[in-house]
Amino acid sequence: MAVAHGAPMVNELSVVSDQWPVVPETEFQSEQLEVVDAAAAMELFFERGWTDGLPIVPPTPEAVEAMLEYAGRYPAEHLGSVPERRREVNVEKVAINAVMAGCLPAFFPVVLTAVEAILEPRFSLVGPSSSTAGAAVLIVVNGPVARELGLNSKDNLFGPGNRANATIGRAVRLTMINAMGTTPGVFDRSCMGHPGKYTYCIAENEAESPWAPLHVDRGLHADDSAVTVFAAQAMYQSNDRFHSDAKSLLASTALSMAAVSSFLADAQPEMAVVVGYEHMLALRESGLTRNQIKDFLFERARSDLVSLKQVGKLPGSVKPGDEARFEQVLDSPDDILLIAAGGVAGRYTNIIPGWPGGGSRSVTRAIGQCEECHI
Amino acid sequence: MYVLNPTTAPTAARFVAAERVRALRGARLGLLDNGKHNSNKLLDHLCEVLAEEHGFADVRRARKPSPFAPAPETMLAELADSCDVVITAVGD
Repeated sequence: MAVAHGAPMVNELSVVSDQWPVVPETEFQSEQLEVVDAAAAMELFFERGWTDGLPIVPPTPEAVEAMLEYAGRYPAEHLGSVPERRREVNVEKVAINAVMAGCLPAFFPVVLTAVEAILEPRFSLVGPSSSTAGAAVLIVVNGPVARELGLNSKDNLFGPGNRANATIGRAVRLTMINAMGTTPGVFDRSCMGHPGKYTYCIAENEAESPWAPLHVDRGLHADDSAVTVFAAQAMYQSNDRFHSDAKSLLASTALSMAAVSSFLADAQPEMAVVVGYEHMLALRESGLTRNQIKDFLFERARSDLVSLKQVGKLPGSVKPGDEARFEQVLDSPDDILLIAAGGVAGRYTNIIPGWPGGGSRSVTRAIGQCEECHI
Repeated sequence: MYVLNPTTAPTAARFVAAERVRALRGARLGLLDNGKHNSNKLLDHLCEVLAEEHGFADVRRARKPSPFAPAPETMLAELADSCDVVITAVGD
């Protein structure tokens, strides 16, 4: 079922347009638990292990119904499976976890699309969500919906303060914990984990970027709203304060990419490069195209075998000539997710390596994408 | 007030366990390597220890293309057809 575009603005919460499909009074399949009040509900969810460690918004039937009504989706609609854990995921469960995360109903189509995307076979959810390497799900929101929801693409990009950024990412994580079996310490065996597992959601600065946005790079139209999900490690904040020409900035970025890459011999993951505002301005001035930037980074992001063997990223002892032999960070320039975003003051580009296990690829999905209609 | 349960439970798996072999001596052994580093060494060592004690009629080896995806159906079918017992192992 497709979702209509042009959603009402976020502050028009109480407006349910008569354009939306009418959802009958909902009969929920989920168990209903009686609690004395909201505080008791929050404590109950802590006791049951149903949170991410932070208090949740109690998912009352009324609040969950508001999510469903806004998106015009039926609760029993099947979204996908995690066969390795024998879990089936439906819209109702995602709606419950979206309420818990603190989402507004207007955020729900984005949350649903992100969940659908991580359930696609290409994302290969089980590996990144269970392995000791411990990836989070980076969510990048593109298109009109990012502006309509007020998603942050600038100052304090990955930090706190924006409800949409914070709760959309959180809703996906809570859905993974509660409805997909990604329970910390059970199927989620991250050794270190990282803070992105609480929330890791941004928009792209499409208005000021010199390049086509990420979803257009991946074949959608600029006026499509879309979500990209990427199994992502913690990020490195690359700080080049002195170079102002494009080539030098890109060279230092490539060095940073090499420093944080896993250098797997047979399964190089993708890498997100989030070009901060001041760096983006310098690159904009250079006139380099998106593909030229990706080609440059791909060629320069590499490391010699001596360095890799010394830090245990490659097996074996150092051999004569290793200083002149190189491993590339990536298999292809197309493995770079180039994203323009970040605050207006500060010379940073953030490097986000993909999950190093191999086999998981980022997925871009249009909001309202209909598998059967192929639109 | 009421709140909704956010969790799913695993769907019940329906399968019939294979009949256990009565003895390992003379059995056809399958070794399914899950693709992790050192799985092969673990399985080879197990095979050596068991073969010394029991003796197998045949040993077949298979390796999953990825540790994180299920073994392909064709691989499992071939092991089921050609082996009496299969050991699967992780490494790392």
